[in-house]
Amino acid sequence: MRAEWEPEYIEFIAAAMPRLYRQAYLLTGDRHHADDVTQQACTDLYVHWRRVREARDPEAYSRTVLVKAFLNTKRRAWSSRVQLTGEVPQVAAAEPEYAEHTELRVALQRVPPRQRAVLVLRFLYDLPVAEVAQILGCSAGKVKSQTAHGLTTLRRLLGGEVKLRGSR
Amino acid sequence: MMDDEFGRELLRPLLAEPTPPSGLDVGGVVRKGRSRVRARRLMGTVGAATVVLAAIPLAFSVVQGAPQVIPTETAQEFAQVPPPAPSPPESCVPVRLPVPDWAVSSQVRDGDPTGRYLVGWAATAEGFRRPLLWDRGTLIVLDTTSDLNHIVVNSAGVVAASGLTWQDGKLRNVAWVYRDGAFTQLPQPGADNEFIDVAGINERGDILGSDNTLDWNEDTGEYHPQQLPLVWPAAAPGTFRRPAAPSGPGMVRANGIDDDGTVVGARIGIPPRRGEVQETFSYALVWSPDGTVREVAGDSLTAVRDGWAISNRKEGVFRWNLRTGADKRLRLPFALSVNAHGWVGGQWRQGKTELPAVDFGTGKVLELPLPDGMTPDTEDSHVSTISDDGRVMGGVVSSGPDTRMAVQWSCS
Repeated sequence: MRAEWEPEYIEFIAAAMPRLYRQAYLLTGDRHHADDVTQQACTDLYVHWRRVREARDPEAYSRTVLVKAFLNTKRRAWSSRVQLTGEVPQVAAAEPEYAEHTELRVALQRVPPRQRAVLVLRFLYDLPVAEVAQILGCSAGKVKSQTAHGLTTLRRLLGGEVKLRGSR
Repeated sequence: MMDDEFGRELLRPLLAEPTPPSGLDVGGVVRKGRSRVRARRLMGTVGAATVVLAAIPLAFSVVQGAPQVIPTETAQEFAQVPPPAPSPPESCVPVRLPVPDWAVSSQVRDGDPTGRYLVGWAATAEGFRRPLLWDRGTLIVLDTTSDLNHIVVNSAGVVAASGLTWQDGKLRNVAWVYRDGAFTQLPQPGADNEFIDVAGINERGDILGSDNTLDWNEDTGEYHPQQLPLVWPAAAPGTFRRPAAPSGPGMVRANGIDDDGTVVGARIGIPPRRGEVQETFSYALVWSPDGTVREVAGDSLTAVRDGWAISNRKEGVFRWNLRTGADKRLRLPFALSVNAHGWVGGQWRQGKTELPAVDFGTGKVLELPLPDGMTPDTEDSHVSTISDDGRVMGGVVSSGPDTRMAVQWSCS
């Protein structure tokens, strides 16, 4: 990072950080983990700013960096701090405003990270299969199979019979 | 495509959930980035060393006593600047500028047209950048704890800078001026979500900067950055004015101010947003002393001095004569500064090696030597400032991991 590029970086990050954090929260379902992932992604963007500023689409680049940070931090540290169980735990409604879909969120958190990333990228970020494949560095076929596996896992965690909230 | 419909319908409710607030702030993120760069460099040298990086709070101290002056043995070497010469210098002698004991790395960021003053910063082990002023090679540590993003100086020794600091319990980006031994915070439009960058100062003391604000857009659910230039006129201390912003989309950035008040900069397209493929763009801008603004050839003007402006474009560096409108492509691939003769300081590349260099606009490029014991590196050695007579230059030299240091060249 050249010092004279730093204002550019600050400008970009100041605008992008709320979006990156929101995306990280969708991936992690946990505000602290989302902060960790966002911080990691922002740091990676700082270190590789030369590549970001030369990228055709800096937003797409930053999204890829964020997803990679999510997958890496999961491997590096988060897994050692989170106990995974086969059951969806009962969640106390400590923060009512964030609790409406907690059951779904907790179930999504139990989906293995790579499958979860595929589900979030496809259905919440609304990205086409080819772009998800590019972000994850795998084939389109792999994205499709991970989608199917992820949805199966999610169905199982939610108790088999999933009722969809039709109007939402 | 059953999976697609099912997945979308199943997961969509999560988009309607509120997102809890983040504990991150831009200042902390930037410092982490700097620390990582430094840690990577250290790791490159010492392998598996563990780097402990502590964060300390910032506080803005407004003039607490006199600045700390550290005389040095090298001061003598800078006391006699040769008289101006019409011909470009042919050889330069590098000297490492004195820095505080705690400095992990240092840089020269700007200098005045006479070559007497250089300004820059020293980075602490925690990644904070502290302001430094050199007066004929003698170091003056400016006693403020603001964490700099830019610093400039003129030949009256007036220093202007911007940086992050804690103020009223918030991390804010502020601009300040150091004049006659005293710091004064510059007035700014005042929004809490504002970032200020000081970009330049001219000989009469007008200070140029830009401020960024982040406007929340309800429709897109995102912050949209806005950027506009600011001038703090020397003739009306305690006030600022806004040069007219040209119409059209994008952010307006000011990069340099000439002695007659001419300002150069750019209008820059914002990065593309979700759901829109939007080309980034950049147009060069010139504000005349009467305040009128016009777009000129090129995508950005980055510095100006006595009617010469420079532009780093994708295809190379161009020097533009504001009086005649003529522009000329230079040999340097990257430029930062220009003097009254149109001599341009920047960086020269040999393969992957980056060297400090000056382009005189005559086809001649002078590579500047590194101090004894240093070898060229692949990153960030450059000339940040060149005096009007070409006899004093300041810049940065890096010869390997974590060795970035402030250097002055005396040329003849």
